[in-house]
Amino acid sequence: MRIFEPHAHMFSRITDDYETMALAGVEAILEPAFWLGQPRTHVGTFLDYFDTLLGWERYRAAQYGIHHFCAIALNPKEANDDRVNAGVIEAMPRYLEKDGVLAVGEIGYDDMTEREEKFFAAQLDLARKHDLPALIHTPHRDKKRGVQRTLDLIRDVGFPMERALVDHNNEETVTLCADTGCYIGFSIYPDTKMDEARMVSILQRWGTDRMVLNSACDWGKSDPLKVARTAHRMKRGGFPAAEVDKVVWHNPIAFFAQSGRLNPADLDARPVLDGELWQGNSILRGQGG
Amino acid sequence: MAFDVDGALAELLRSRARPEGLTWLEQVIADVAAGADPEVAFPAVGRHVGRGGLDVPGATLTTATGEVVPLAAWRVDDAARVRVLLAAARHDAAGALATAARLYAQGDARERTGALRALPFLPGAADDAAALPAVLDAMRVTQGEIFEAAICDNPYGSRHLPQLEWRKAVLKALFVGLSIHRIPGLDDRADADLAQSLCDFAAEREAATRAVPPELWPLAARHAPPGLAAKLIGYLEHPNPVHRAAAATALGHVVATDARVRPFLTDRAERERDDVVAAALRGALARG
Ligand SMILES: [Zn+2]
Repeated sequence: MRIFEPHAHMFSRITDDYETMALAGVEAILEPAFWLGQPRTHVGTFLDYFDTLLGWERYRAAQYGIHHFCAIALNPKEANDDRVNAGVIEAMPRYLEKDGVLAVGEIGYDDMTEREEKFFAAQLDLARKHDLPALIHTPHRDKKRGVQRTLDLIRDVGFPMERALVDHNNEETVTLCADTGCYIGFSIYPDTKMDEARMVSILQRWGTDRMVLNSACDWGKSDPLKVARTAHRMKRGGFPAAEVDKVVWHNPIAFFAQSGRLNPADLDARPVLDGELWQGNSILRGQGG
Repeated sequence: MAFDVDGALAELLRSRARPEGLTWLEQVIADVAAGADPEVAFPAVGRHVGRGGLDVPGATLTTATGEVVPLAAWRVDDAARVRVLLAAARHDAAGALATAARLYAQGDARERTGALRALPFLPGAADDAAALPAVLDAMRVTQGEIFEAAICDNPYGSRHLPQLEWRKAVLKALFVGLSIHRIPGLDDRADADLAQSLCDFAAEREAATRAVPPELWPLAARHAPPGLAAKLIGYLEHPNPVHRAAAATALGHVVATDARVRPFLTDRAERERDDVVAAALRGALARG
């Protein structure tokens, strides 16, 4: 079983987690930009964070044979902070053109404020300009209204529904997303939000089309193996292997391939370590004196 | 007439970059030469033109001050990014090095490599240290290819690094397995302090029963610390001919000033069966 983990905050994890994930079948990770617990007060700390996703995390992942991609965004929580919001948006165009950036995200609503809405819409516009899909966070409080408002905004600004991955769904919100054509994401957590057994029931009821699972694995209590555990549970629940593969591998690839920057065939090869020297250099090493 | 760097790179790219990528690149170059900021196009270069090796082992470029830069380690996107920065220099010659330093600071590993490779070809490269912060940063990063692009086959880094940083660069190159012969101006800048560091590095390796890169000996012998001649005389009997040849070349630097050296070189030369080592021994003896 090959796993494409479509939403993992590896910034918050130790290097051993990469190895554990690789052993569980994770071959690719997409790391969306989010908040870090402690509010940031400077635009520069955002840019250093983006650079870490593009450089250091890719390097760490490659050491375990994992392809690391990312999504770049001003997250919904810090969209409310006037010390950083406009400056981050201003720097985003050059980040959205970088190799390995497959989406704009996480964007969306958190407290459903005016500022959140303004920067959510502005970033859907950036996604369109840079020809990228969007990874969309939904509020943890007042979730049903939050998801509805998310879908309404996507529709209102005319962003293509199939290029939106609406994340953190549950039994109630899946009914809102089901017929819209968006990709439907679920974050599987240890104690809260969504667990493996409930997830399998949802898949039994709603099928596997456009369904995407993630472990989120951030700085909170979380588990980087949640996708593997849920896949295992799906098999025990009677899903054929092809259906499991569809949910944990083919669906996320189909979504992010809409960026035009993800060639599924490239995932078959070992990722090149950023630190590795190009093979042409080897002939130049160790010449006599 | 000055060497046409942009023309040479354009010619190399013609058969190596993706055709549709070349059209995109020419448009970017035209926009940037007309004053557009390259910062949004710069990250996208690899996606458009490709990222494979240029694969021209013997090819070189020449800087405005006559330094020859080998292209063996360059990739297709490096060549394209250098062309973008040359276009920026046509619009603003005085600001070109600062633009390269900014794109380095904003870049991922591939962008940084491309920005560094452009430095020796930009206006003012010979006497303007405006892009030195990029070179210094490249010495501290984890990614080996960034360090390599700053230090190896790059006259800009060699020219502008302060002596202390330059010595550290030579040591780091040895440490990570890069040939120090790819550092331009190596022999001219080597000093006694570097020689001591090289000998300490060799001693650390020997104490751990690890291999010593033989190419360090001739460099260390240019400013030989006490005891080095004796160690090199021992290396003349090393079972590996690469080490024997390096020791012989190194002893060539001290044979004229240390009377003990010559008899050992002569003795080894009489028994040496390896052609390369024998030539190195003859070369050393000729300097005595
Ligand atoms: Zn998240």
